[in-house]
Formats: sequence, C-alpha cells, structure tokens
Amino acid sequence: MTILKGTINKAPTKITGAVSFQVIDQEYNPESANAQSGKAVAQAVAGKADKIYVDNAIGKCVSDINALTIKSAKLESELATLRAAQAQMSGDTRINLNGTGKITAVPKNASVLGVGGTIKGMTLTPLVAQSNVAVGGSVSFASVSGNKYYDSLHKTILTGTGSTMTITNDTTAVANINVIDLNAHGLQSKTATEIAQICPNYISGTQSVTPMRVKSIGKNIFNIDKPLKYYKANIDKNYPLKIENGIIYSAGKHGNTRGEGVYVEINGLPVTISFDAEWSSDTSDTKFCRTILFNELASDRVIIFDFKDDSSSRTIQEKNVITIPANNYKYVGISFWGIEPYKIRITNLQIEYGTGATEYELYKETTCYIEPKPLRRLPNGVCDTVDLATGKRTINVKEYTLQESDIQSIYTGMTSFDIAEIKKPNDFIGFGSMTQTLNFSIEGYKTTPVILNGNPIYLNCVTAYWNNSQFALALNKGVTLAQAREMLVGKKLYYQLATPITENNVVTGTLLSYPKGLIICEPAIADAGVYDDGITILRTDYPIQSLETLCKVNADGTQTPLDVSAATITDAGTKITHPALFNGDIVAFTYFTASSGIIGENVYNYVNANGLTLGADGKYYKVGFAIDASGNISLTKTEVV
Amino acid sequence: MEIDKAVIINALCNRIKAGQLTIEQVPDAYRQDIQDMLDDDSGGGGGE
Repeated sequence: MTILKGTINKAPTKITGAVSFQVIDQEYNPESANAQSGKAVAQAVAGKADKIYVDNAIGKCVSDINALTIKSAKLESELATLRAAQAQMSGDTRINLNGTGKITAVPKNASVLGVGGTIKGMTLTPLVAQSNVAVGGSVSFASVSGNKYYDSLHKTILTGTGSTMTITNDTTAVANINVIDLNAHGLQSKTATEIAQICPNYISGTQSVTPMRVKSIGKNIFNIDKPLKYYKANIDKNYPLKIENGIIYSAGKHGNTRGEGVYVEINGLPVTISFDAEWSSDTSDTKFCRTILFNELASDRVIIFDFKDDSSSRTIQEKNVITIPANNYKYVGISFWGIEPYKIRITNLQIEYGTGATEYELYKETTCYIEPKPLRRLPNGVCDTVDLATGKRTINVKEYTLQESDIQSIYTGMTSFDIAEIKKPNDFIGFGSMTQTLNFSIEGYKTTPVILNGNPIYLNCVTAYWNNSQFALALNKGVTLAQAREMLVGKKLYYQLATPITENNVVTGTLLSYPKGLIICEPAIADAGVYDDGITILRTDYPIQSLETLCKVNADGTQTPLDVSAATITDAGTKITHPALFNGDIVAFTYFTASSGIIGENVYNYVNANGLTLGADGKYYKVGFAIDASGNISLTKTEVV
Repeated sequence: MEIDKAVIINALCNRIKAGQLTIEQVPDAYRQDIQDMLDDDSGGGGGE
C-alpha cells in the first residue's frame, strides 16, 4: 500500500498503485493553494486510494462554513434592524425597509415622498411538489443531516435527520404539499414565516418571481372609490349598497336582508375597523353591522360577531370601532342593516392594520409598474434586480437550456460516483476557474461547493469545483454518456453572468410612501392600445385573470372610466371587448394575471419625516441655521426629495 | 379610477415599438411625450 501523509503543497502529477492520503493542514481555506492541491490529489488518486482522508477534512470544513454562513446571515439581519432603528432615531433621511412577501408595512414616521429600493429576484425549486394529497396521505424525501427543509403544509422548518423524512396530511381536506430544501437555495437562515411570505403558494418545478406592480397605499386600506363588495345570502344581492359623495347607503333591512357589504384583503393580520353611522329611521335595538372573515367569496366564512347599538339616538354615532384579531383568513367584510334600506348612512369607514383606531383619512394610492420578466436568484444569493429609483433592471442570472453537446463526457475515476462533465458557458462568471461558489444551478439537481468521493449525500449533486471549463454532476456508477444526456438535455441551467446586463426604463409610474401605510406587490399589468373589434393584450404570456380598470383615453388626454363588469374577456384571457368602445378608440386598462407563486423579498427605502418640516406647498424641508462672516444668523431650508 | 398618465404613455409606446400602433393614432395630448420616449429609446438607451 502506498501512503501519502503530510501537508500538501503541490499536487503530484501521477500516482500509481493503492495509496492512502491524509491532509494535516488544520486551517482549511477552500481557496488556498493547499486546498486546491489537496483536491487535485483527491481527484488524482480517486479509484486508487483505499481511503482519502482529505474528503473528511474538507467535509467538516464545509459543514463549519455552512454553520458560520447561517450565523453571519442572522447577525447581518440583526444588524440591519439595529441600523434601521438607529437611523429612525437619528433622523437620517433615507431608511431601508426590508420587504419580505406581498405586504410591507411603512412606519408612521414616513414622509409622503418617493419610494426607492430594490426589487430582488427569487428562484425556488421544491424538493417535493405533490398536489392533492389525500387526508392521512403523506410525502417522503431523503434528507441530509442538519439541512433545513420548509414544510409548506404545516408552514414549519424541519431539520434533516440524514434519513428519509415524511410529511403527513393531518388536516381534514386534501392538500398540496411542497418541501423546499433551504440549504440548496442558500435560504437556510430564513424563518418559516419569511419563507411562507416569500412562497405563499403551492409551486411545482422551478419558479421565479415576476414582479409586475408595486402599490403604495395609506393607512386606510378601504378604497371607497373602488370598493370590493360581497353578499352573504343570495337574497342579499338584490339589495346592493350605494355609495354617493363618500357616504355608504346600505340596503340592509332588519329581518329581511343584510344587503351587500364591503370587504378588504387583510391576509390574516389584525385590523381595526372604524366608522361613523346614522340609522336615521330606526328605533332602538335595530342597528346592526356584521363582520365576516373568509378566504373565498362563496364559502369558508366565519362570522365574528354582530355589532349592535342599543342606544335610541338617531343621530350620527361617531367612531364606532371594531377590532379584528390576527386570524387565518385572507379577507374581512362588513355589512350594515337597520329597519329601512338606504336609510343607513355610513361615513368615514376606515380599515387599518393594527389594533388601534386612528384619525380617519381617505384611501390613498400610488403605483408603479414593472415590465414583467422573471427575476432569478442563485443559491449564493446573487439575483436579478430592479432599481425603483432609476428604473433599471440588472440581469445577473442567465437561463440556458442544456443541449446534448453540453454533456461532454463521463468521468469514471471516482469510487462512489461517475461524473457527468457538463460544459461551463463562456459567459459564466466561473468559466476558466474553479471556485466553490454556488453561482449556478441545474434544474432538478442540488448545487454543492464540492463533490466528495465516498459520501453518498453527493449523489445527484452538481458542482463548479471540478475544472476550469466543466461542471461535475455526480451520478450512479455505470451511467453512460447517452443516459446522462437523456437525463439532462432540456433541463434549465441558471448561472451567474460574468458581465451583468442592464435594461433601462422598465419601471413606470411614481411610488410614494405614506405614514403607517403599506407597500404591496401584485401580479397586475397595465396596457393600452387601439380598439379594433376588441383589444388584444400586448403580453400574451400573461393572460387576464380579472380586469381591474378600463378607460377610454380621449383626444385631450382625459379618461372616461368604463364599467369593467360589462367587458367580455375571450381568447383564453387575451382579448377584451366592451359595448361602449368603438373601433379606433384608444383604450387603457389594468388587469390581474396569474402569479408565479413566488413573491420574493425586496428592500424599499423611504424618507424619514423626523427632523423635516412639511411646508404649506406640500414639500418637505430640512430647516437649519446659517451664520455668515459677520456672525449674522439666518434660517435655511433645503427641500428633501 | 383613472390610470396614471405616465403608465398610459409607456403602454402606448410599447405598442408602437411592437408595431401595433402608429404615433398618428395616439391621442394628441400624449403625442409629444410618446415621441420623446421613442427618441430616448432610439438614442442609445437599453443597455450599458
């Protein structure tokens, strides 16, 4: 037996016979010459050595690095929170706001000025995606010891045992179950709540976030100009509410119908509803309102309680307040009824997040639209971005479909695996070098820093740390080149570009922050065109799910809003017709389309109003003193934008 | 509810670039803005 033992400084060029090899370099650095040489030796002796101790040494170091990476990410997150708090107290002008998921709360100290920030890419490939799992049914997956896995059914994070793990549908209904290997995505430091916000829906296959519209609204989330309406019983729909001059007239009639109500999306968060009310024709104990929680308009409803006013007064009762606690429902609705329909007048209806009613303000909204395109993210955290302030999209991640010629050869020199050698693209940042960075991924396979012989956890793992021009994919011994090609051709390769691509003008519209408001990501698209027996949407890859707004644009630039309920959507959601439109009309519209299922995480920034003075002109100023050469003191003002 | 003018202008501009609309067809009030945007795009924008 040949034994090599000692610190390696240079890889031998050729080794013959059985060898044993041990690295004593205790301070492992994956980029060090020793480590590079050690790896080269490992490859050189693969198939020859009785034992390759370098594997264990590197394996432990990789494990340590992963643990340190998690710790580092948590510390950075805590540091960011502390910095934000410090910035708010110190009156720094622009403050970052982490936006994970669909809705991000804006602090009450925000000024009404432009929102900047970065919309970030996110790509997820579930390890398990099983739809319609029966009650009592289960899904299983092979786990890696210590890895973190997100269980979408229970919205929890599981720690890998190193053995097969099982998730059972212990609910009372069929369920869709995703399992996401968080380590494989570089997301192992995320909490279950964060992952649930990033990926709130069931997904299958590789999906990336496609940001479309970012909306900023004020603290009152009830939009009286565009109310969402519901009715509880069929008879109620015959009693629609009316809204005139900011007053809601309910048709609800005691003992007959509760009439139509209004609802807003709350996504399980606690809200406070406040309103002023006048039941002008009623006597006592006949003044009611009812709140309802639901996920679907037609079912799944939970009536929280009725609000009843026992006073005999017919005058306006100001600031009635109902607090809705945190819950598991997407929407909350409210309806009103008394003795006579349309005699009930509701004003100043405000629905706000939190458990306290504040001063009424009208619904406020600004939006910006992002030209829809998937924004991707690699396991090392590098992602595509959109800068809200500059309107530029930076593409760092390229998608490529593997061709037969890209799977170049099979390396059979390892004892545990055979290696499919896959061509690195020329514009890959790792082309021409060997690093252990997770700067690429191949659909269906797990990216790892290295592939270590003798450890079965690396089966079906892919690494860039192989040679300068090829990725390595560990497959079962005996796999042929033809079989590897059959497995890989058509799969998507995502990789970090050596030179990012910039696209200009992908954002339109102005986004303003509002104190105690919200920033909301929505799968909504704006479009406009000329009517010609209908209008076909421009982006047919994103068909209409529901039409939100439809306007005729007049020659003078004014808009004539049209009733969207009169529009007909045809041609698989790609064409709109409306009886009030004629050929040649210019039409503008907004619509909701399907989401990729992933929301992602963004960073917004807003102007902190602390220390600023709001002028009568609606602009914010920093006010200070100036002292000239003669010692005269004067006031100065600088507009903050 | 009305749609932001800048959003409509951008949408019409996209239609023109897609060859589905001509500058003559857009509302008079938006024509100059759209022409400016088209000029910007043809003036070397779109990449760095």
